[in-house]
Amino acid sequence: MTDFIRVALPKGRLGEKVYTMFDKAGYPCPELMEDNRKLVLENAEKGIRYFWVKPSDVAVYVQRGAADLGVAGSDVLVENAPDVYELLDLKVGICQMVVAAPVTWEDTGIRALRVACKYPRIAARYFEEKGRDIDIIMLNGSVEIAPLLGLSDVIVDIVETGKTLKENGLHVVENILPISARLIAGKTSYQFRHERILEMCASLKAVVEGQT
Amino acid sequence: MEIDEKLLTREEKADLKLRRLFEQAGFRRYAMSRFEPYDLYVENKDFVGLDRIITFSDIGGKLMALKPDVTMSILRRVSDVPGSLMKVYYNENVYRARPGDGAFREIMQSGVECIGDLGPSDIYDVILLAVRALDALHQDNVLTLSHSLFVAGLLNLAGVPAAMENKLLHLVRDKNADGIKKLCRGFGINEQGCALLLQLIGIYGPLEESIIKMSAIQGNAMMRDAVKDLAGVNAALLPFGAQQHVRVDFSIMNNMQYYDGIVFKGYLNGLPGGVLSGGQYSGMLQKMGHSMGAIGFAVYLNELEYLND
Repeated sequence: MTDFIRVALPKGRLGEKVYTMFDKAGYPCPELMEDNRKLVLENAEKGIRYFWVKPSDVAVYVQRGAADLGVAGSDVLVENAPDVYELLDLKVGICQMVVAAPVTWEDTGIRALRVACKYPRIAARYFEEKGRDIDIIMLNGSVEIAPLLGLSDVIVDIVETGKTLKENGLHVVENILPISARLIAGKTSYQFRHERILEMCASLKAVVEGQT
Repeated sequence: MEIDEKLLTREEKADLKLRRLFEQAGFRRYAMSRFEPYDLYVENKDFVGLDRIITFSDIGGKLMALKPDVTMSILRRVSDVPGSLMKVYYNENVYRARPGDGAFREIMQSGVECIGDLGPSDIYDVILLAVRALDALHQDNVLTLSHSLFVAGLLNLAGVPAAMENKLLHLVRDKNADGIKKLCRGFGINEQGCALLLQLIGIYGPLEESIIKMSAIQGNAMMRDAVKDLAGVNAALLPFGAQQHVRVDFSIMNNMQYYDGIVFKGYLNGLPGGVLSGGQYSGMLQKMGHSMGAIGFAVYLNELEYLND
């Protein structure tokens, strides 16, 4: 019976980009890029099994042992602090977590700052360190609209090119942290499959270094 | 009365095996109350490592807690008697908030504590017992060891400032080499210092092989003491073949203020988190005003429910 290394990939554009890195590193699974609806795909010869999951769920699969490895954004890792190893910065999916506000906005400091975001822990920690009292408004998408409709004063969100912000009359007020995709490993998987995991990590590192 | 083991749950069978093992190793059962004064945990919050505890007022108005930890209950009852050594085991329920949703749950915990005039052989015995406890639970197991003196010594050698320490230990816990390099750049640690700190991730593997790698670093007295301790453990485990299951892994961290020697964590193949956790915690006893040594470990029996047959 093949002892598969199970890899959770984030569904979407980033996942496809990351898969090409695994492919280049010597872990191909041609079926993965075919037009099909399969969620679990494998290459028995290479002993690798991939599955597509929602990007924010990757770390859950890895922490709970359903996957040995996974690729998750550092935004999710900082926000949820899963109990996993963070083995490699894949240097793709690069963006910034920022505080953004309408270009005309100015912080008067006379009341708690209303902050709309999808990352309440990151936002709370950031403003706590600055000593600024805030009121967090948790949203699940289209955060940029919140200040335009008077729901919040500012937003904390991820910015890649800044185009969406600009088109909605917003601008970056402060940078909070740089974001990129990370290779993560389950703690128990690491103990029992560390040779294969380290081998994969070294091959991926060579791919990362080759593309930067 | 004969016990029909077929009628027992996996948790109960494991408990029975561990009790036999602990008794054979010369430990005696220690029973305790389900409640403790809340103050006990507030004063030692960092050691217990918990923010939320279930509390209630007793009939006299005193604030009590459903115990979230067993070691503190034992420590509050120990007294300094020169030359004596208390070797006890327990099987108790503790009450802790679940990571994630924060809901409280009851956890069955079994473990040992060895407190008093502690010598190296007592420490080796407890580590051997931890290996045997894991073996009793599942044949495919690993016990990872770290040494707080080696970590502290290496931080010292690399010139890590106090403001960098917690961030660095967090990154070592995550085996985040890229993060360590970035942090070193931020704090002006030179390449040589950074390379030393990366050893905290790079050194990982079988005990003997790791001891050789640790010895190869031109270290300070703290690091040499740690190497000596781990070499002692290796020598003590060798006659039983128990070193085969043991690895050095500095990513397992406990609060270095209280844990001041060997710390360890046990894993079973197929269970996502560690199932056994322990170490030397003389620093905690000193904080409580005692001048004794201590080592112990706990096994989280409820985790076994998730092990496949």
